Amino acid sequence: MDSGSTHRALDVWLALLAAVAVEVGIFGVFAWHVELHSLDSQTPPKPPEMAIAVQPVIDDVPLLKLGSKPQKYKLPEMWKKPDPVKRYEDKSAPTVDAQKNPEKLPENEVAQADEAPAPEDAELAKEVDEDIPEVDEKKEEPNLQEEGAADGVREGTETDPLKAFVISQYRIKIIGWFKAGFSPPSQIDCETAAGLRTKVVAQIGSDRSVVSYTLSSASGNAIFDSRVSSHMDRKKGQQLPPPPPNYADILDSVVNLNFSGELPNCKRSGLPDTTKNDPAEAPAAPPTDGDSNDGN
Amino acid sequence: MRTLHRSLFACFALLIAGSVSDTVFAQTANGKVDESQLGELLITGSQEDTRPKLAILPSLSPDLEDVIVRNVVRRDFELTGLFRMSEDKQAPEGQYGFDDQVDVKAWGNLGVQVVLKVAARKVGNQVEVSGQAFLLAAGEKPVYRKQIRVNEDEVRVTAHRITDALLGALTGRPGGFASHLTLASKWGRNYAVFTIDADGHNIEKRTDPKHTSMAPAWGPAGYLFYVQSENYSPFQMMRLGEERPLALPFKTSTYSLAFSKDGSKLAVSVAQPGGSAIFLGNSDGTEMKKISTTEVATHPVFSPSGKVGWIGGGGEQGAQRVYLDGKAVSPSGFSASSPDFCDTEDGIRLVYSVSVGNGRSDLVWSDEQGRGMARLTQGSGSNTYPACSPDGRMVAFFSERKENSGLYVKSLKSFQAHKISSRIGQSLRWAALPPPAKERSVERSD
Repeated sequence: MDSGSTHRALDVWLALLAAVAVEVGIFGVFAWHVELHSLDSQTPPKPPEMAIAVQPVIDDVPLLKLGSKPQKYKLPEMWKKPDPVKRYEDKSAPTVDAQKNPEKLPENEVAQADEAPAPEDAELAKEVDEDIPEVDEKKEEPNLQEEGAADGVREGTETDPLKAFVISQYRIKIIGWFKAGFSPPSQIDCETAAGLRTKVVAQIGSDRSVVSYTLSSASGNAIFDSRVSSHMDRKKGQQLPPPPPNYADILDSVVNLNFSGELPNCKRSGLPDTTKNDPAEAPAAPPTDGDSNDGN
Repeated sequence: MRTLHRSLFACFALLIAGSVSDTVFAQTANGKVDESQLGELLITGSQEDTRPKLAILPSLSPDLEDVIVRNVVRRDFELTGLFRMSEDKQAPEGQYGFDDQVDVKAWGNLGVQVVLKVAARKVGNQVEVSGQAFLLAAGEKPVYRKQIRVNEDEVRVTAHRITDALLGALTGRPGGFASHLTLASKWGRNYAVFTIDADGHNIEKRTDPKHTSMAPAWGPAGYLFYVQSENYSPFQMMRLGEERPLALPFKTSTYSLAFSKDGSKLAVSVAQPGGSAIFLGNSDGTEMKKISTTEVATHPVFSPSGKVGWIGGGGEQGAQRVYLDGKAVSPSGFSASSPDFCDTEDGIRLVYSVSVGNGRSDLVWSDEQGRGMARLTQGSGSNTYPACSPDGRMVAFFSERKENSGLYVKSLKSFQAHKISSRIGQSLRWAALPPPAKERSVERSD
């Protein structure tokens, strides 16, 4: 029957196109709306500034401040986890030493009868949150990665007092070796000379000889610096005394020297004694022959 | 583009690296960061006695062994010249028994930096000898201690061993007092070989004076060697305790000899037509080769560095000079004799005797190569035959004077000389005693 097909095929296609167009339009409107909202959420408008009154509220039990008694000549400690300290609540306890007619009764809480009194040197607090067990007085020995002395310093390098003593003796020997033949120029007045310092870095070869040197810090006085340079020139090629055989490693490849302009003659008179020969120019004196037990 | 990026990155990296190295250099050069063990050394023009002050606790014990040990150690330390010694009368009041505590602080008040406690006591048939070192900077506990239990007749040498151990602890270089010297000295018509302890005790004639015995030298395992002539026969090399001479490939006289430090090498001076020569070979006398070129070559000696020195001269070479491995190292204008090498704290030093006119000689020293010669004696008689102690801290020599001639020991630190014996002789040699057969000591560094 033809009554069932009242629409033509063209009408059907037009209806489909119209439906699709409506759907696409709705979807587009929806998508445009979402896009608009997402942009709005990314850049919210700045709220207007407004003044707020802050009223501090003090807790009844204040937090403890981290620190210690200030020690003027000691560097502050590096942070480390603090050990818990046993504290006692500030309570009054009955005592046989109490006065019969006290002027004023204690205002703080009274301890329970079976409660042990706090030690005399105990740290007190208004309120104690947790009961920390007593720490044994005998502290465990520190287990550090490096061996050292309890009274040593972090910057210290020596753990053996005997070795430290030997090193100090060897230092004196090396100082004497570099000092031999050196004297500050006498034409500089005492006051100026006393403040002169010339720092020298000497390179030491594997055979202990002075290979080279550099003036790392000049004194600013040309005469003194020249004296130091000429002295070091004479030391070049010479061998330093060997380190003690038991500590053969204490001589490094670099020796840092600090030449002082202080004149020995200035210490007493305040003026340089120019009548004496300058040892820097004089030949090396032979060792004295101080004999004992002989009459010759 | 990529190349440009790489270049820019490289330049940037180089700039950073350069700035870091500059910083490190500046820190080192300016002395701000000085991690050397010696630290920065302050050099001034002043001269002062920088030796540490040392005290040895007095002995209040009536026991002979305690008195001996304490006196021997004190004298040894005085001979070294390494320390400023505190006088006994300055000792603070206190207990000075074997087991008594040392009041280090009381000694510190006297300016003492090192305190030594040495003591001895009888334990059954033996003697316990103890030495302890305290440093003022290290507190009340000893930083070093050594205890040795010995027989009664070994107390004196044990005291020397305690000294050597204490010196080793305090200076990083053990002492050389447990040692002995040997020399040739006139006995009747002939020369005989003698031995003597380093402190002048126990002088003993060791060879038969009916023969002429000369040029003694210590050899491997502490044996004593020398050359001997019987009834004007050629001198032959002998070992003490043996009647037959050692087999050397020479028919002429052997004048003198020396063994290397490890005992593996032997150098001998042998008579040659018109002079003498130095031969070097194994210690058993094999593989001997001539190493000298001078007309006369005598008195061989080994340097601690292993080189061989001797006195050479005559003919074209002129005056006698010290030769080291074939090269003259003493000045040409001086007649040198009897060299020895000291392994000192300042390095190897050559010590020898030089004629100074009027039949007198003086000791001079230089570095191993002969540079920087300086006198060791002057205006104190005629001084000959220097011999270095095993630790290189002292030199022994004969000194002929108007009064007080004898055998002297001079510290190469303080240059103070002490007479240890009245005997005069020649060919002086000094060596360490062999270690005790059985070590019964306890050593501890606290």
